[in-house]
Parts: sequence; structure tokens; C-alpha cells
Amino acid sequence: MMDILMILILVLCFGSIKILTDWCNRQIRTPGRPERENENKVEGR
Amino acid sequence: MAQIIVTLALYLVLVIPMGTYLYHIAAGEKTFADPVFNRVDNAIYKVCRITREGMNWKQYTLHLLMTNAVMVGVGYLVLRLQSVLLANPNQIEGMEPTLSFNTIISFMTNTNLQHYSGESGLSYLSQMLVIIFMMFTSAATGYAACMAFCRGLAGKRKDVGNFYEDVVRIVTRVLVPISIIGGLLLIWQGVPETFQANQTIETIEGKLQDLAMGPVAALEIIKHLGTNGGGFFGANSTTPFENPTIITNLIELYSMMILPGACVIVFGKMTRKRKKEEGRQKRCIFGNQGRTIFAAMSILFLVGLTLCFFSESAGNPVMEAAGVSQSMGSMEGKEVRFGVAQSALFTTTTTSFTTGTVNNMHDTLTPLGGMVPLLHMMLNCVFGGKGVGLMNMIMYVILAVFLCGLMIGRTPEYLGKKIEGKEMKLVALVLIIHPLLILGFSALAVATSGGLAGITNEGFHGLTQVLYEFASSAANNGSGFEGLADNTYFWNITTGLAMFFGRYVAIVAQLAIAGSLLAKKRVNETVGTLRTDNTIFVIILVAVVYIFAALTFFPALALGPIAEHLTLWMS
Repeated sequence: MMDILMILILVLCFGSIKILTDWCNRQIRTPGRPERENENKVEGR
Repeated sequence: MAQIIVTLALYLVLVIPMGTYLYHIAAGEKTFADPVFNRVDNAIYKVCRITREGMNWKQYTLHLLMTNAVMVGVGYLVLRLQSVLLANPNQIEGMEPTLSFNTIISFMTNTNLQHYSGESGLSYLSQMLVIIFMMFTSAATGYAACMAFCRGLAGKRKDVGNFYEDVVRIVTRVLVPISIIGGLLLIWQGVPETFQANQTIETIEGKLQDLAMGPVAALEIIKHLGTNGGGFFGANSTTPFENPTIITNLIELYSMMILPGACVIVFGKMTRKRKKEEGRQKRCIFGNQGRTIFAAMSILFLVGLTLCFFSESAGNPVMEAAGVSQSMGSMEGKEVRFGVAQSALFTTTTTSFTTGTVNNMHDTLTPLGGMVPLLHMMLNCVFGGKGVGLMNMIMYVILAVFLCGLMIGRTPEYLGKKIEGKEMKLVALVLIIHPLLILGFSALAVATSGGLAGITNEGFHGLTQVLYEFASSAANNGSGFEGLADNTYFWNITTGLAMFFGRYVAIVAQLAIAGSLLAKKRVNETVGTLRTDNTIFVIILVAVVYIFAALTFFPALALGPIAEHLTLWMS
């Protein structure tokens, strides 16, 4: 049970950092500038 | 005092060639070692199918995170299952889940905070597959992030590099070769390197004693070189099996100091202007920008070292009153073979360069002597470890540039790029997350029964223990003040979270800043541009760091080590 809880916390931690990465990307993107094609590939969108 | 000066002078001699070598690796330029390492690297690229294409900051960050996440998952399983896996002659049980959680984050984030004793808590397989392996990869991850950050700021190429190429080049060309040489030197000085089980010997009093053994030298060198700090033994570098002589002490000191210092030189060389732009300016070994940062870091380091050394040399008045001579300074918790000078130097170095290894017990330092390592972890920019200290210091540089810009009414610029609100938002995030983790979790610890249960000292010293534990975690340092009963659910989980967010939030935001500046056009320097490569800026930078630290941490320090110092000397 504790193992599942610890792994869940780890997943949440890494997930939150991924969200932070996306947020940072939105912050620094110049308004109106389209995303580069290779960025889309990484995110699998 | 003379031995400290000689040690630091020799460091300056060693760091310059290392910085030049590291720059050639970071910039992909030719080095003398290419004929050998190119073959090794190419084989690794081929086996791992690494394409070596340039990445933008976001790709770089995501690959860094994914790689780290996989290693965390595998490492967690090894720690939990070590009792049934290979290389476990001492029949050590699987690690408890929250302790495994703490340990795996600790080693993946290059913190090496240990809530266990290595000799009794880990099998040899765990020591090698998790601990030593991660000491290489976590250090390489930090240096890779630093290289990408420097490339972004330098703006001489369109991408920030390839994460996998950076990690491979740093491991094969820096960490492994120096570890082999350093490891052999440690074995020569008497550090064990064996796979035999623990030895039982008869002492001169006729009693039996178990001597813990293992592949100590292999771990010991990368522990320092990668600014990791997690010892093979619980007593870390105080024990003669890890650090037997003054020569090994110097090897360990230099190996933890050399790469963080070299990173500053790399930054300086990368951001150096092209010859035609440089005009009449003198070329500098550190690069003009690197020189400013190296000078500011050195001032912060020397102020801390001086305070620590003289506090320890003054001795402990309570011990003096009890009839214990303090003529050698406060020797409580120190090794006689190192004395006050080498202990104070090691203490200041291990917390400035965020290694976390100890050659004396920090819990028994005098209050002001103990405040220095605590403060340097709170600053987290006095050289720092694995390139992260440089990145943190540049956050302060940008803050200083921004404040100066506000004062003179100009848009702030750094390295020819305009600093706008979006960069400042990310700089603020990096600078605030660190005190938030330290002070927030410390407040939680002293307000909940789970936290209070681990505090073994009442009063001011107890608060210092708590602050130290979270400062060490958030700064990815890993040294322990000790005296804290920290292997509990509360301490394992909270310090694990502090280590995780202390590492990754900063790295993500810093790489984003690098990506943002990389995309900007360079503006021409004018007479009104604030110079960031002169003595005045060094003074401004040091002042900004101290003012920021005072505003965020002074109340906590006043209730901890400063109050303890006043109580000790007033009584």
C-alpha cells in the first residue's frame, strides 16, 4: 500500500513539473508567434 | 590560516585548465582526448540511437525530466528488492517505502541526503547500481543543464544543444577519467576497494569489532567530483576508511571544488564577445562576465570561511568553563588529524559547493560557525554544485540588472538582451521557491507532532536543526546537521518533496529563461548601458545577494544560531 502511495507521489511530482514546463513555455512565447513544428512533435500533439 | 591560503591558491591554479577543458567539451571544440573518447562516445550514440540533433529549451527540459523519471522508477525498485537481488553478502533487508522514496529522490537530484547508514542500509548492488550510478548521472544532468543554460545566454547558436550528447560527453570525458585517477589515489592512501563482506577483528582491548568494508574508493571520488556528498558510511568523510589522511582530505576538497569553479569559466568563455566586438578590451582567462561572477562568488565564500574559521578558533566558552582547554579551538566533533582550519575549510566548501560531504560533525560547530554552512545553503549561489550554483547566481545577476535598470530608468539589459517582465517572472519564481521550501516545511515541522517528534534538541538549537535539514534538502546539498531523528514518515516525505521541487522547479525556469533570451535579438551597447563586467557590478551583486538573504532568512537565523550564540556568550 505504501509503495503505491510513494509511486503515486512521484508521478504527481513529475507531472507537476511537466505542467510547469508548459506554463513557462506559454510565458516566454512571443504573442502571435506560432509554435515551431518540432515542439509539437515532442509533446505528441 | 596559512594552510587555508595555500589550499585556495592551489585551487585557483587547478581550476583554470579545468575550466578551459570543460569549455572545449561544452562548445564541442577539439581536445587532446578526442582520439580516445570520440570512439567511446560514438559507440554509445550508436547503441542508444542518439541522433545528436539540437534541441530547443523545452525539448531539452522534457528529455531531462523523462530520463530522470525512468532512473527514479528503476532505482526505487532496486532499493525495495535489494534483499532478493545479487551482491548482498551482509544480507541487508529491502529498504522501507518512504525511506526508498527519500533516498531515490535524494540521489537523483544530486542531494545525497541520507536518512540511513550506508553500511547497514544498502546492499553492494544498491551501492553500485543506484548510489554510484546516480552520482554520475545526476551530476552529469546538472552540468548538462548548465551547459544548455550558458548556450542560451551566449546566443551564439540557434538551439541549446542536445541533452543526451551533453550527458555522454560529460560522463566519458570528465567524470569517469577523473574518477579513475582520483579513485586510485585514494586507494594508494588506504581507502578500501573490495567486495568482501564485513570483517570481524579483535581490538587491542581484546573485544570483537565488525569493520564495514566495500567498494569505498569508487564511491568516494565521484561523491566529491559530482558534488554528491552521500558517504559509503554513515560517518561520511570523518571516518578514516573514507578520508584517512590530509592528502585524501585535499583530494576530496579539490575534487568537489574544481568543476563548479570551472563552470564559471565556461560561462565566461561562452559569453565572451567576438574579437571584432571586443576592440581594445583585454582578454581575460575567465571571460569578462565570468570574472565578475567568479569574484562575487569568491567574496561570498571568503566572508563565510572567515566567519566559520574564527568562530571555531574562538572555542566554546561553556567547555572552557568546564575545564576543557580551548587552545586548539572548538575541537568537539572534529577529527584531530584535520584540526580547526581544515574542518572550517571543508565545512564552508561542502555547503558552498553544495556537496554535502562532511569531515566533521556540523551539529557540534559553534553557533556562528554552524550558521555559515546554513547561510550558504540558503544563498545556494556561492559556486554551488553541478553547475546549478552558476545558474542561481545568474538569477541574482538578472535581478541586480533589473533593480539598477529601475533606478536609472532604462530597460534592463544583460549580455546584449533586453530583460522583460516575462523573464523577471521566472527569475522571481526561482528565487522565491527556495526560501518557500525551506521556511514553509520548517514551519510545518515545528507545528506538527510528526515534525516535533524528530527534534532532539530543545530551544534555539532545535530550530537550527530543522532549518538546516530543509535548507540542505532544498539546496540539494545533502549534509546533515545530525541530531535529528529523521528516518520517519514525516521527515522522509517532506525532505523528499523539498529536494524534488528545489531541483526541478529551478532547472525548468532557468532553462526557460535561457530559451527566452536565446530567441531575442541582440541590442547594441551604448554609453548608457549598465556594465556587468566591472568592480562596481561585483559590489552591487554581492549586496543584492546579501540583502535578499537578509530579507528572507534573517528572522529564522535570528531565532536559531544567532540567539544560540548570544545565549552561549552572554551566559
